[in-house]
Amino acid sequence: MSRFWIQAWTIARRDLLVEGRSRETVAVVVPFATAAVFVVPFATDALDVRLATIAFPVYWLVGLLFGMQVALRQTAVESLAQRRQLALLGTDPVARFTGRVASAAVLILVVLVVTAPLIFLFYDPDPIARPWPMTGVLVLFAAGMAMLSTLAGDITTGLATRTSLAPLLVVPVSVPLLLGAAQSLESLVRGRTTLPWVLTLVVTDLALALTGVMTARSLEESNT
Amino acid sequence: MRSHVRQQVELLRRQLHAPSGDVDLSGACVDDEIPVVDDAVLDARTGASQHRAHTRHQLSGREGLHDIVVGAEFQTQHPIDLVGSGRQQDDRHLRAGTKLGEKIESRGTGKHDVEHHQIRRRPLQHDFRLVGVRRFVHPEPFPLQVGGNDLANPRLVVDHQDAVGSDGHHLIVWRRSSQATVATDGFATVSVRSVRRPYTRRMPDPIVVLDAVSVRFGPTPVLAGLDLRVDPGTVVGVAGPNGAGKTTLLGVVATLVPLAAGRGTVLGAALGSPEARLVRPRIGWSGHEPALYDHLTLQENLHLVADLAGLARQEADEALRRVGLGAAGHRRASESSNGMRRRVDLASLLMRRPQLLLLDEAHAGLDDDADAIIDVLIGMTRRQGGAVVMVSHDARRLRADADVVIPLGDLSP
Repeated sequence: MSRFWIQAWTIARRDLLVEGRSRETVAVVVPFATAAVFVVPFATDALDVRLATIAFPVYWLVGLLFGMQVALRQTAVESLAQRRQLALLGTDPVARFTGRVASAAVLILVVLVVTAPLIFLFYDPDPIARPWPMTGVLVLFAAGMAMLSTLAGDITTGLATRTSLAPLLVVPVSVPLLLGAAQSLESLVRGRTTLPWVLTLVVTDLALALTGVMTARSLEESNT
Repeated sequence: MRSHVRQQVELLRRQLHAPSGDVDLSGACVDDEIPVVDDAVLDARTGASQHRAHTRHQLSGREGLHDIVVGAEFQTQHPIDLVGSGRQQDDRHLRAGTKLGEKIESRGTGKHDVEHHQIRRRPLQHDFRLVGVRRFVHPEPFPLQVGGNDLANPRLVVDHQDAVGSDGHHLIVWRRSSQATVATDGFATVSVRSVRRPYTRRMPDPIVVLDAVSVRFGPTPVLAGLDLRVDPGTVVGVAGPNGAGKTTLLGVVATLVPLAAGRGTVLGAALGSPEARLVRPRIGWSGHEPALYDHLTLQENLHLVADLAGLARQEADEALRRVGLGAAGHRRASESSNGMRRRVDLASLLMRRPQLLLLDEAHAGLDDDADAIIDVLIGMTRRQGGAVVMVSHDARRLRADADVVIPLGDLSP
């Protein structure tokens, strides 16, 4: 394994170990995400909305909001001393970005996987004709959200307004991710081709990855 | 725990000064009673026929600045094992009267295996510095082997930039950086470290040069027109009140803080240039806020450093033991005292052996034992030809430790 991948794996492992001990995602974000899934049907009761029609939009909205919370969680924030140490250890900024994105993507996937059965339980949507391609859509969405949120977190590092500014950066850019994921799922339910929407997800992920790679070095310089 | 730490510190000191047995050849190992090379040794010559240094360079796209991934191999009149690939031949001569610390010019040709199977041939000219000559107690020529890195055995650890020769009775080490340790009990093993750090082909001399350097944070000037020179083997103290820019100066020297004006070099790399990033792994920084992750154990924190720096985890465990935390490694950083956290920070520096050591109020809040670890770190860095820049409010402390003290308040705006 090359040094790049060793460093990326080390960073990802660090984040997952920290999460395993702090349980910020499992004990805080996931319960709130499930609560959100549970509460929406009550909020729409008076509107006479058929729950099945809003099941998947609610799912992706929860994925967006709480996925962002996962990537921007407090325990993922590195102190100035830690960022300086990483730089002085010769950590490749792209490897660092890759590792952080990988760990965030895993945790976002946890949120998506935990909330998915609840959607089917409470909203009773139409069944998905082909469940396996759904896995790929989830992974692409989680990777995109992880990259986007990690980038936003790095851009707002050290700012007093980080907690409000980072989500504002994420939400507009997440539109193609939301669109691609929602329409892919819709196509799977209806038995239509998912290719255009999966391609939308892939292209968005690639663009985010390229942005992350190209800005990793300068973001590291400005944050140390 | 204190007595244990004292033992470890004492052990470190003994390793650096031992008259026999485990000997550090990085400066401290040189016996004062042998200041000039013995005539018998001076006849020893490591020419192309006797010495072969093999290195494999990772392509970095820049002449003279490479990542070395395989160290050097050496051949004497004794049998050796060969490790690595590539070839680099040069002649080195010891003249009569060569003194310890004197540069020895080396010329030759190099043929390097470069990644992507490119081959380069170019003339070589290295300057090595004679830093150690030691007479062995064994009258018979001792076997000298290359390869293997069994730390349980007596060993000689040689960096890739070092050259080793022997006339059967003496071990001669030419070195440009890093550490070399030798242990002899009639059998010496040379272990070549796999080094993953960039180097300049000539030892940077001086290590830090700042010329009319200014730093601004937004509209606020922090440093203005600062000149600084740090030579190898020296400790420079920087004194000044709060807000004088001491930590910012360390940031500049660590290549992390951009300059608003002026210029400078650190370990041979110009500040602000792409090369500056490459010398960062040779810089160690210890501040009052340890760079630990609260949810990880002390051992996991140190393993993280080892993994990222490309070092073996055993070295991390050994460093943890040396700072007296061998039994406390399983404790989470959040459950450890500040003193323990600071020791882990120091352990990471012991493990990494930086060539340029930056200490930011490093003594503040430490007990005597931890203080002694810093002294060992400073001594180790000096002896390996590196340099130390330490900042502190405590002018008395700086005067005791530093060769020269710079009052920063006079230089900053």
